[in-house]
Amino acid sequence: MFAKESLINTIFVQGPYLGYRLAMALIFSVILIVLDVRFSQLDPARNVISSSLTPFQWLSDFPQKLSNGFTFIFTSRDELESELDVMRDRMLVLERQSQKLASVTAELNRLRELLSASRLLDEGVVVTELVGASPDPNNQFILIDKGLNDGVLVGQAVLDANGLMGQVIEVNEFRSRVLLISDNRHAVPVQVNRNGMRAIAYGVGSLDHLELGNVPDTADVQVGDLLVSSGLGGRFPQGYPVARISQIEHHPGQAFATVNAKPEALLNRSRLLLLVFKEQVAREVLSSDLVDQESQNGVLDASMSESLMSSESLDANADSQRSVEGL
Amino acid sequence: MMTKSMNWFVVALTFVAAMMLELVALPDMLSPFRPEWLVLTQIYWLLRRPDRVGIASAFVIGIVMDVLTGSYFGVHSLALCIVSYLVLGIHKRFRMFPMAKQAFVIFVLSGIQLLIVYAMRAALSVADNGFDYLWQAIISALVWPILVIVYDRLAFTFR
Repeated sequence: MFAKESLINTIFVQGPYLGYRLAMALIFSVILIVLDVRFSQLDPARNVISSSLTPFQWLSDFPQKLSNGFTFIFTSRDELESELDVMRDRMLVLERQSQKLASVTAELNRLRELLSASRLLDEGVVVTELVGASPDPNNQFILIDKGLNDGVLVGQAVLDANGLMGQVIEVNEFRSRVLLISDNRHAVPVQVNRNGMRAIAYGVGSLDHLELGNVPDTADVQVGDLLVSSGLGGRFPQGYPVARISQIEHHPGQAFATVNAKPEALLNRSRLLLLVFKEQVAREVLSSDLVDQESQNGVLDASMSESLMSSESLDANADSQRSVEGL
Repeated sequence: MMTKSMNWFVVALTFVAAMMLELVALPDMLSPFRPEWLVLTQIYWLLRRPDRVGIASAFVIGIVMDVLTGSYFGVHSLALCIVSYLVLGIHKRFRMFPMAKQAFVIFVLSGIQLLIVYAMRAALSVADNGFDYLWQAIISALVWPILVIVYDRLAFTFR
């Protein structure tokens, strides 16, 4: 199997002190592991390496891009036209909903002010594209094409058209790694949309179900209930659909029921995703990219002027905008 | 002539190709069966040029694998260094093995690599991987003969 001429030269030649070199490498690896687990000093190094590997990731995504391109080329004009019609109809429906949403949100916020509750904030979103998936099915993450250059921060939530996908766990110059809600290291605080019951949805490593932890046997949950993110813990924005209850098992004699839910987001199919920006800092970075809806802003500013807003995050001009880029 | 200087271009080419294969998106059904391309490539060059490729390069490739898979720094490099040490211990005998026996040894070696990685992952974070690694090791062993033929060809072309 090996070329003959290199055989003689390499068969007896071996670097010296093999055992020592192995020991060195092992010690160094263990030091790296401990540093990486305990501290965050290695993050810049990871950032540099993964930024420099970006071209390869781009290339490895190429077959998929190519096949998508081919399907597009061979789509007939009729199909495209009918697709366009469907989309126009859908856009009309959605626009009607958002017309009402502006006034409903304004009214809701006025009512919340009467209750001295803090205002509901709407988040800005930026469209991003999936550019890579985890090579390892036990380690569920995806890569998206926005990074430090676009102002992405660790901890931001990522949505698709149907619901919550996951959160950003690592950022390099051009790419970010998003941990999916189905990974078995992930948990998301949720509430049942019907009655507000709070729970925590744990990923179990399977793309098509999550598990609700510590739900009392007598709790009011039903198959088909929608779970939305509760916003507790401050990591995820409130009110986005996360999953739908698919199965409830009661165990007589045990305190908690086993409740499974099916994620609303198409975790393994969506390619166009939304990155949620809720901090003002992030918004400033992105303000040039965003298309603002000023009308809603005006309504809220008026109602805001006399109220007792103390928290910085309730800055009127910053957070009442609904911003959509690229849609 | 080529005995003195190895063509580093081929080595780089094979490692880049292995990295692509490691990253390319597979359908969900197939993804538990992805061969360990980078490990196989490392073993191939260890066998071919044990005087040039060694534990240091195993360490570097391991770090790259850590970044690609998003695991802690050092996990893959530790496993790959151990496997490389084992390969360097048996490389004189390994050349003489018939292909079937080589494939079996590759099964054991990549099994060791995966076992170490999975054990570390289970120790450092929550994980329940079951016996997936056995499938990956089996597929790696099946891929080995093809990989050797292709790489030999490449090395011959770009000598």
